[in-house]
Amino acid sequence: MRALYRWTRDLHLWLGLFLSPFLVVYAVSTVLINHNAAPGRGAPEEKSDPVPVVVPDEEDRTRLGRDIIAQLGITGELGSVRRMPAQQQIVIPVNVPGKRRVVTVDTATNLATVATKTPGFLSGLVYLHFAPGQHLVGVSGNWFWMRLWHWMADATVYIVLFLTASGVYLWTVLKAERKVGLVCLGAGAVSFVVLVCGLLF
Amino acid sequence: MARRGFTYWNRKFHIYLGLYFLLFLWLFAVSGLILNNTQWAFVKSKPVDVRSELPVTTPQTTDAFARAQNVMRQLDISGEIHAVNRPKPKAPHDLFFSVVRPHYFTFVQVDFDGGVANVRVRKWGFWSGFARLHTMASMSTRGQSMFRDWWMTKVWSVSVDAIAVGVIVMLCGGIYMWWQLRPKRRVGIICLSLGCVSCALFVIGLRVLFM
Repeated sequence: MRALYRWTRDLHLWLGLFLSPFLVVYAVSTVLINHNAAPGRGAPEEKSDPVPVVVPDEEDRTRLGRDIIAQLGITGELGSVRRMPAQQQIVIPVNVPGKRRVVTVDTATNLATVATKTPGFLSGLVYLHFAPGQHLVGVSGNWFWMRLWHWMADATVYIVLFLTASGVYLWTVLKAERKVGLVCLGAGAVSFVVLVCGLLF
Repeated sequence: MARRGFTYWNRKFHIYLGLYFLLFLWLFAVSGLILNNTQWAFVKSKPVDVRSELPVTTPQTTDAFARAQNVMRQLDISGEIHAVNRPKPKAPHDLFFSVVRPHYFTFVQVDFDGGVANVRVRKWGFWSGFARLHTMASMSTRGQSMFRDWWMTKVWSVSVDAIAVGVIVMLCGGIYMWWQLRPKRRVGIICLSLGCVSCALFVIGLRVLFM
């Protein structure tokens, strides 16, 4: 029993320390998203000169986008690649946390221009909070680093679940804290139920 | 003595805050996992639409948002207005708006001349509704000109802020408590450094590495 307590306490400590920067990322970006802050909204956009590219005969839009950005020496997570036959354009959004590029290919001339915006650090936090997210299923995670972030985001959840569960266990062992702890747990449960029920019913 | 007092209260605060936020943290953790893994079979659900036609009277105001709020009162609909006249209503309708609750959306098209509102309630399964609690306070999908108009969303958004600040306070308290434990410092520094380096790689590193 003593060994279980010691192991749990140590793991709670080590995993908590490891995860703390990630939790700061989520907490800060939560406040930004909650207040519609959209940091870096007014960041200036730089447009490159047109560069010739070869547009491959590729049905899969993600593969098409990846091929074209590779020719331009760009890398990052592709957004939704759009073919616009009426405008004779292919539009490829490429994201790196804190930096957004939009590659526009003129399919009539096979010339590509790159518009770059660097909204910066806070915008990067918001981007990471939303990634991979519920949209662009099958498209998101097309860049190794964002796939890694996806795993990290999932791991964050599992570690948070462990930290909270182990925290509850560590609290139950402390007899002196039981009464006030129960009051806090109860107060949290009541406010949680009231809020969730208010939103649902 | 003052320092010892802080250590004592910090420890208590760490425990009490953690216990208070326990269910909220579980909600946001599990719903975050669901949002990141919408391909999971149990998460997928087909929405069910329920349509009805209800009588409405024309409000005095000409402002589209105020009209939507008036119609909501008439039809006893509550929730957060998501969009008004986006997309634009098709004739003979004069007003279109959608109202969000975590587990269902209500789409309303109103023909004031005919005195009729076409209401479509789109309900999702449990997990979709559960996951929407995660995004309910977010303003990002609603456009710059929108604001929170439902008191429950306002309360929820304050709670979300409180949880975010609470998490940071708990982290700071936890780090302080760890630093007091001298035998744990070395391994702790390794864990914290690993976390900082791997997190910084995503937050700053990728932008620097892939100019």
